[in-house]
Amino acid sequence: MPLIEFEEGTSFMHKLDPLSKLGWSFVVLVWLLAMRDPVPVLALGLLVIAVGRLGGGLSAIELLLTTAKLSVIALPIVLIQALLYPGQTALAAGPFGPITREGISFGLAIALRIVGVVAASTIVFKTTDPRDLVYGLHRHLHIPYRFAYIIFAGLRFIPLMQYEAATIREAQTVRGVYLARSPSLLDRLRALPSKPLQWKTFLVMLIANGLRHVPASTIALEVRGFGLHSHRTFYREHRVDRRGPIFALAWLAAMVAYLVLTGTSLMRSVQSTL
Amino acid sequence: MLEAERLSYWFPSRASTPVEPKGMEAPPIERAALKEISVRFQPGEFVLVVGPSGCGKSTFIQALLGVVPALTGGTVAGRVRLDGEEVLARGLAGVAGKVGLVLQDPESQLTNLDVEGEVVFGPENLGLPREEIARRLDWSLTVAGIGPLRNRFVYALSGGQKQRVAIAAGLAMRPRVLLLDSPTSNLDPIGGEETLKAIVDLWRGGAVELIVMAAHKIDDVLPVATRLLVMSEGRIILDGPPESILTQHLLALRDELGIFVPELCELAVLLNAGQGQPINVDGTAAALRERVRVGLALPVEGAASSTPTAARQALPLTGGPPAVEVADLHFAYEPGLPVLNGVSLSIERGQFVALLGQNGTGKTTLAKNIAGLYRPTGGTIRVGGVETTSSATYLRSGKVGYVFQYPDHQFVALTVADELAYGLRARAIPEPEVAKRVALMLELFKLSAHRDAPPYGLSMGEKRRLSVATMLVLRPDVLILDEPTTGQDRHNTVALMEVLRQEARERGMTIIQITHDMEQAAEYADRVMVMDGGRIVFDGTIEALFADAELLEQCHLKPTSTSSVCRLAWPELQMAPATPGRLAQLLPSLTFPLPE
Repeated sequence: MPLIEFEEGTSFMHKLDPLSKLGWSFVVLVWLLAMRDPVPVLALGLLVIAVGRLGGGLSAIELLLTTAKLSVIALPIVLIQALLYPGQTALAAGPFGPITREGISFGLAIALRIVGVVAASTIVFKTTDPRDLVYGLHRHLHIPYRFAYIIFAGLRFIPLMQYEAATIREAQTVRGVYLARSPSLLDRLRALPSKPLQWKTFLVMLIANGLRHVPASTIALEVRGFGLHSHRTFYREHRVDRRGPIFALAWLAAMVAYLVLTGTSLMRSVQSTL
Repeated sequence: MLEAERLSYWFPSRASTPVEPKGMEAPPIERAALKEISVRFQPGEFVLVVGPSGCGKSTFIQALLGVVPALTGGTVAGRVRLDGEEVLARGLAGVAGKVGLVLQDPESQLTNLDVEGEVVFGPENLGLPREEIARRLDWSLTVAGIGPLRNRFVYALSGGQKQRVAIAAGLAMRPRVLLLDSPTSNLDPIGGEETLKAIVDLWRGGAVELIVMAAHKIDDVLPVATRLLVMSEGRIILDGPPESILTQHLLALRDELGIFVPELCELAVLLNAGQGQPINVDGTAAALRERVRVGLALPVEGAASSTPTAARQALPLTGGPPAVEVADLHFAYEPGLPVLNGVSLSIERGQFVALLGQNGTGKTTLAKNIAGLYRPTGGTIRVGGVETTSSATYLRSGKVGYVFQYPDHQFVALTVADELAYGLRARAIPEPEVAKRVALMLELFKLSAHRDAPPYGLSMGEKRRLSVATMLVLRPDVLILDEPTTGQDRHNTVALMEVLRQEARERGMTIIQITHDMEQAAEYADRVMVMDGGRIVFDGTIEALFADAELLEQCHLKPTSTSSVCRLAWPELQMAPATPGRLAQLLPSLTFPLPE
């Protein structure tokens, strides 16, 4: 089972067209980037989760868990900013200087933005049939089908790559690549310097194995006439729900209104430009 | 209908061109992968293409389609025509919709998320009307026998199901010709049966007019094939009715070319059965009864695929604990979904055990638990008397080796020599000893010429030998192999199995081999274990397994042809020989009727 997978459903979000949902997630991204304070960023993130729960019929806990898995870099960012960001209000002494309230706030804001963007993207992918997404990119944005298909192909091979990654890891463990997985803490610490090489070995083999499939996949595509004609039929019916554009525009309006009312630096720079 | 005329092909080099330009000399023919092949195929034919690994079977199939050289590059000479139209010059554009292709690897050739999407993909690309696509979709799913799978995701299907989806996707293009490149090599017996049945059904039903299928093992499809092509070193050396070719050239095909000859054909030739009639179990059994009646033995050298029974007997090395002991083992990937349900077994040192059973019965899971890759949820495992259940893998690495099904998953180094040395260096073996063992393995597995080559640049057979060598160089006490001879020709298979057998005898290495190949298990295993539903349901000799018809049916296993023929000839025989070699040894002592 892939980490993010489309889940069939009949919810409000399921019925919206893919491009409107992508537009909505883009609005969320811009909105998150425009806010510096972690509290409103958190509030917006929770609102996004609520959209997924109430509008998408998704389990809030599963959504949070998936988001957490994909936001692994968020925690290190908080720590790095707390330790390095220059601020006014010192809270404690750190190894590189004082740990400041501003540093923690800045780090939290970045981390919560990442979580918010990941949550929005997760909702889009869980409620969007990839076939509809490819159709939308091709028909409405006029992206050539061959390029739109790339997204589709990526999704098709993700489960295979996950399986192969697990098998490669097992195979390399047997070879001794992960000999450092000792119950002894001292052994594990001693083996730390070799970790980058182990990761490199693993990634090289993963990529090499992925490339192994390319010739056969290419032949299969060509034999089935992929790209043969400029015009192709789409067997599945794709209906565009009017609520999609309305939903995305409503969020856009809300974002603009918030930014104007709160006078963010982004809006100030836009206003001064105009 | 489809023909090749003086077709030659050279793989890409630095100075290659797609089509032989005028005025330029072609490279020497000796270096060609295909050498001046001329052949014609007619509607209604079911053609099998066989040959040793590297003979050019796959390249030939791809050339018929125009894949070569359009997608592969290289230099080509000669012609391929489909209904009079040139194929090579036009590339795949010329054959899309006319020729279908099913490849060996079910994963790589499916390029959509779901079954329906996969099947309609080709007609969509052709720009056909939706109504026509809908008709083709329904028809293809029905002919391939996968109607219920219509809305399933491709990644969730079994290997056999995926191959049938690939067949349906090809059929949706309504090709007149279907080309198949070893479509059952990577499948378990049930998957292989399902796939072959679909192929045979659509040929018999007239869904396609011509089938050309490359394969290593042809036992199950031989009864329907109308023509056999035998390839060697890029040429077609034999072309004619399958049984005629197999019976007239059996020893040359088996022993010189290294082709898997159906066991039934071997027996029939040995017994002079058939004689112009179709080769089948009944006729061969009758010939066997007659031979015994008149007191004739079988020529042992003709059945030289077996070693004497004495050498095959279990070689438990006396003294010391069992090599592997498993007690009441339980394992689940997820809570509530157990895979192993109380497995218990004991294997002595030096034994060669075949682990049989359908996919999903727990064979690989059991093997990985023994290797230490998984931690069981209950029960214990002992290797050489030492409990290893709670140990980390590294404690066992070196003691228990594991060879994965696909060698590509296992490589970690940039050269063959470094690949062999890797495990030794990781275990701090002194460098002089490393050099000595590496040299020994290079020699034993005939890889010396590739010492400095990258592992990924080797042929499939060479990769397979290297993957086994990387484990044997560590001198493990126990070696587990997962389908080590999949897709290999007979020469490579026998060479590999003989090395393993030698190691078991000389060093007392215990071998556990997961396999679907019943002939191979009969040939090499001292003992077989059958798994079903996460448990071991049989543990004994293969002859005893074949005597249990009910168990065979329950576990979807088929006996060897030798066993079937012997059982038919002597229904009262308790333990029928399982290989032609053992039958030849036993025959002098058999009389008809059997003594009380």
